[in-house]
Amino acid sequence: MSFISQIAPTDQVSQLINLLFQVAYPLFFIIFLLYGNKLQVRTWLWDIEKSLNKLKIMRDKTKQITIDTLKDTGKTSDDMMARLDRMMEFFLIEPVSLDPAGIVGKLDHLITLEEERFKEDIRLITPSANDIQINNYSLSVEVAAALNTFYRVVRHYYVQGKRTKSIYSIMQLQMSMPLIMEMAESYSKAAEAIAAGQPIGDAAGAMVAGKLMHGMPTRKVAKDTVMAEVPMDGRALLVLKAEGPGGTVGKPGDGIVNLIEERNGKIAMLIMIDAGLKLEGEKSGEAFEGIGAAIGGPGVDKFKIEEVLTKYKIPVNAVVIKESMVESISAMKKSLIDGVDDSIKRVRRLIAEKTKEGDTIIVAGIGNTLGVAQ
Amino acid sequence: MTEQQPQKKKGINTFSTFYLIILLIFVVSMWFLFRAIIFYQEGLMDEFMTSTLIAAMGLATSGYMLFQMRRRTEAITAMVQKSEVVSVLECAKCGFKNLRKFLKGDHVFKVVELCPRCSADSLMITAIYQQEDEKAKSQA
Repeated sequence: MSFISQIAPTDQVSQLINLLFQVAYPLFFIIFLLYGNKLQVRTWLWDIEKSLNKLKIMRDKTKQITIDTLKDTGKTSDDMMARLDRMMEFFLIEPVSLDPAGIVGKLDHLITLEEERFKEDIRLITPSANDIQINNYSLSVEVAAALNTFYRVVRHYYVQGKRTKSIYSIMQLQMSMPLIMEMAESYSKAAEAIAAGQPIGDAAGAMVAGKLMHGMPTRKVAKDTVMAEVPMDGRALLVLKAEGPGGTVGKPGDGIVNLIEERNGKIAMLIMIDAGLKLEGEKSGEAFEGIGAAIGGPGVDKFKIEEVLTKYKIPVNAVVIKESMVESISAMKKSLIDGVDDSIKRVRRLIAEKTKEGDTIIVAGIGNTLGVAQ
Repeated sequence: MTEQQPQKKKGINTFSTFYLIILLIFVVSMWFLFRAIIFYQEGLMDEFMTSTLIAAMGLATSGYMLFQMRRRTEAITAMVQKSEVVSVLECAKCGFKNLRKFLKGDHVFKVVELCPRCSADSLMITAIYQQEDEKAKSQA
């Protein structure tokens, strides 16, 4: 007891603590009353700034991965960096929608132009690259460009909010940041898988088609899209997918339209298999069935497919393999491989139950075919 | 000539600073706890209550900070650790199956080497996937 009293004298310290509390209490009250909102805005801005720094790191890392991958091919053009910077800032102006008639055709034209322009620029950077490499590099640059867009847009709203001191715009941005960061992180993870040429989660649909058509002779039905005729239980399956193993989604819309038109609409059924976004709490790799054109993207392919299906009154079944946004663009997981096998069983069952011998059925595996041949 | 600080060193410094703050809060809290004992023995109940409150707040803060630091360290470790991507090699003839690390140039349906078991057919890559750790699997 005596030792403790010696090292900690009581009276002066307790008086000092009491005084501190007496001053601090009203001071805190006044500060929070007058500057509460400003302190909150400061905290939000600090949060956004931290995320913005993370976005910058992700963007730079992805860009570096892309540069390293391009250099792996061998000879690269002298102006590679300048060209890459230009590609990362590349944009597409969407067609005017005041008069929506014919807008899908315009959008299709612009998207095709954008893809071609990207591939032409990649070819100029790495003249010795083959078509598969060109597709993979184009995908890598697209990912880097997407992260660059995330960074630029968030920075824009951050600087604008800071400048105008608008509490509501800062609040909106801060509240949207977790979702933005989740998407950005999935793109960042995708960069490594794409650079290595590993199949990504989105390849699940293409893998189903690949497994069904493997070993059969293939032919092109549309740009970057192949098909094979596979006999199954007395039926003819026309299996279609993007041409792998390069990273491309092909033109499944054109492919399906061409196959249907070639046979004057004499198709018993169309089955589409694609990766679909799961809801939180759902298990990855589970396959679900439904009706409709299972295809994502800007809607051009979906529009074409729906048009031709309606024209010939062809029934369409969809098999969707559930996965998260992150899983869809990062290296494929074992649970998704299991989902692929389950989907094949479902496709076989659908064919057996809904069609009869002698029928022709189109089976379309939708998705990016990176790392998946046929 | 400017010299850039390596990022790793910066990270370690930030962590060390936080651990130092935690230690400081813990030491100060313990000191208040000692003082609370003295006040109690001297019968100064008001001072005893104030010191106990400050000590409890300090200990709770340092404990919470330590917990958060551990969580952050684990999250960073998980981020840095890359899960391995494997290629599944299968023989269509005898059913021999082998898993090996993904090599650049591998793709599904690529024929790679002669089957070591039957030597009658070649091994083909039937799947390429990222191995999931059990913890992540249970969270999914």
